[in-house]
Amino acid sequence: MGKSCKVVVCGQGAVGKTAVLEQLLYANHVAGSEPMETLEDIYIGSIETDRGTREQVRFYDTRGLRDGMEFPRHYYTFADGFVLVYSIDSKESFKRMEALKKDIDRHRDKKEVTIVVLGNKLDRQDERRVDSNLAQNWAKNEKVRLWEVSVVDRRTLIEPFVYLASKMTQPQSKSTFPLSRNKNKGSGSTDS
Amino acid sequence: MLSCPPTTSPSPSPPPPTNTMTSDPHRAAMETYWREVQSIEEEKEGEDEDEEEEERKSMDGKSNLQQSETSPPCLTSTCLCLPAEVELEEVWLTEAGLSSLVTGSSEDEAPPPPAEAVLSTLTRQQTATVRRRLDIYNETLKKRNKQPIRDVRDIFTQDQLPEHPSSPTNTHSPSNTHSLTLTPSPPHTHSPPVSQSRRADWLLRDSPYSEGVAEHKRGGTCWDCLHFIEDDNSDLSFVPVCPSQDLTCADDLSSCDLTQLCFISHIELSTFLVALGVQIKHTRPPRRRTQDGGVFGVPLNSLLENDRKKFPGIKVPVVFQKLLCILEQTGLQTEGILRVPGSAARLKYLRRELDRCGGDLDWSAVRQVDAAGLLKLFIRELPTPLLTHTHLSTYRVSSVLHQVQALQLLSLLLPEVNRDTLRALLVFLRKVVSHQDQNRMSLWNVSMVMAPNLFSCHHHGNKLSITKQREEMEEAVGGAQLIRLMITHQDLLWIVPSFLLSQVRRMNQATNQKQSGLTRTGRRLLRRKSDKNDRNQITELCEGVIRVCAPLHTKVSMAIQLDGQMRAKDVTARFEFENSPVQSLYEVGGNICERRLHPDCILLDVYRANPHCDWLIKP
Repeated sequence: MGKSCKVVVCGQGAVGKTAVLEQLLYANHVAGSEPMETLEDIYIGSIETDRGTREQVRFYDTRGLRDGMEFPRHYYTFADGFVLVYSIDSKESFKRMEALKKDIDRHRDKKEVTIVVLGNKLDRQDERRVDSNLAQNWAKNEKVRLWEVSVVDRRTLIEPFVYLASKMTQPQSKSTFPLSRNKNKGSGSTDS
Repeated sequence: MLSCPPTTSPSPSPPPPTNTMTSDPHRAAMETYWREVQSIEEEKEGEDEDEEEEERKSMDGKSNLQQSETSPPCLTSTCLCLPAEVELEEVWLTEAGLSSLVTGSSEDEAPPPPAEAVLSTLTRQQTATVRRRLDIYNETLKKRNKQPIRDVRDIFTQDQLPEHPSSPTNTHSPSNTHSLTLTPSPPHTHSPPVSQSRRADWLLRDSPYSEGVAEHKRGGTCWDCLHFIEDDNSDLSFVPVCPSQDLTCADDLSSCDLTQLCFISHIELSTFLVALGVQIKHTRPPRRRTQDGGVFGVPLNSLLENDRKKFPGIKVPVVFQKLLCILEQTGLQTEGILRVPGSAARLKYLRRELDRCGGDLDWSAVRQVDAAGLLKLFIRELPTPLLTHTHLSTYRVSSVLHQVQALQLLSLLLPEVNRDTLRALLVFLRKVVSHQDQNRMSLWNVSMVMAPNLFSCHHHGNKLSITKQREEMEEAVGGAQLIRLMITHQDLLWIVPSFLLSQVRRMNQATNQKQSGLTRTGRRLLRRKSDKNDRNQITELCEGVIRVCAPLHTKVSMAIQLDGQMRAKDVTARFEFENSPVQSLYEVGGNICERRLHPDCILLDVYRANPHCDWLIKP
């Protein structure tokens, strides 16, 4: 079993993070079902990338953020990728997502992380508060991909996650750490 | 003297005339008993002749050997009195998990838990029992000019310190940590039972049975008995406590926990019986021949091992299951099932066939009478009795309640195969009784028929004094009474009483501490290793939050905030997206090896009892 990528799913409370994951993995989420507050759940999923390989991904479903709550720091340094979720019927959730994106940029140091943004609850068009164009423009400026999705329609979820998996597992440009492998050998395995 | 020297086992007697006990209301059933005994005897004789014949043919002089084996065991035990005593104590101590204190214990077996770990969990009374045993053991060793391996005083030094804080020392205040799970009224205000059944709430108590009965011996303010009016004739019974969430069945525990449990129940049973003033009869098991192949006379363990090659995961030997199955399908309505003997010749033939082909018999040719005969024969022929050697003394316990308690401790002492086989048998017997309108086998009848099969009874010859006859009579009734209780209370037998579970927890804790004290560096390494494993789970958990792992699921882990209502089934429900078979929640590690949780188990209680355990979902 290869090393799996770690993806942290975060966003404001009750925007549908767990729903997105469960619909993606089990395809049986019923929209509008009673929300249960998540603390931290971990899922293992396997996603076929656009290169045709299957990649194992560990999803960390985090606790929805509320006022005065800070997103736990350790997630920033630990994740290979982020799924930022907001709900198109809540301006506040979009703002919180923007703030999260800024924090990620600040904390990730030089680590390469892949970020995708999901505007959930597309099925509630008539209650829309976040303008689609505005959101896409923001995404373009931030150089991240943004999709508007709905857990009711599972097909909308596929593309973002395939993109995410493909991007994360892209073969690294070889120039970054050419010698790192050898260096590790010398210092490693002190506890065996 | 509390541990009597090996008494000569109940010696030969004729079937005492049934009218010696005119007061016995079950006279008819008693006849059943003696008839059963007689038919067993006849069968045995027939067999012996048979074998002698065979042996004469083969001329290998084995008959000599066989004779010595069939000779009454009293002969061997009297001439070997001293060593036998040492041996008995040694066996006792080993069974109590204290083999490290015994000289002759083999080192190559799995290392026993440190004696200190066992001892530190015991209550004062239990400790006293162990101390007495050890005293006797060392005494006898000295008599044989051997150096006792350790002095009692060394072993018990730590006992001069105050007792383990959580071990109950006072009979009157069973400290109750289960306040969440049930609302117990203080013992003395316990309302007397209104109905014919009583809740076995003593299962949830924290104090050992032996603590509760100290009063019983002294003259009767044992509150367990006070509110329980005994009546031998009625089928009074205990029903499992209603909020069953906190009960653990023996098979919910992993085998390593069961081993620990065995040690403690062993000590507790001895203490309990002593507290009740019951003398434990040390019958040295008569040596029996163990067959290597075949079906009869083969240890349950080897049978099961063999069967598992074909049917992995089974718990009861296939032959036994098969016999029960035939009886259940065809025999439940038959009048006198189990009581009416089949043809002896046919039984002999079937036995040979079974031994020859090892269970691959043409079962369709086996009638229910034969099956009943084979079943009883199978039980009798086991190299070690199904109920092992200690059970029979229990009938001397004076109250039904305490008899049930003692039987429960005994069931927990049994090896796993024996327990599972016994359970299968008891389930079947209950079915027989439930059809008594058709088969005319009442509870008492069934018990009487099974008693001589389950408790090996020796009686040969016709030359017994009246007292001996009386004794044998009592033993017969007592044995049957025990079987009756086991049939009616079978659901209680497998339940691990709360106090035993918490003693196991304390014992594990003590063992862990001891080990970690020895190798601190090892522990650090271990921790670092486990840190590495846990890197995937990053959030530090705060108080009252557990992380449930389900390695076989897509959702591999879930952090859950516990409250007073959260039950095991609520947690498993959150993992049930995948149409997987029903899974259970286990507590793993910490102060227990592994325990399956009852679906209604309140998790917060488990969390408090074992804060450092892992939570695992698996089938």
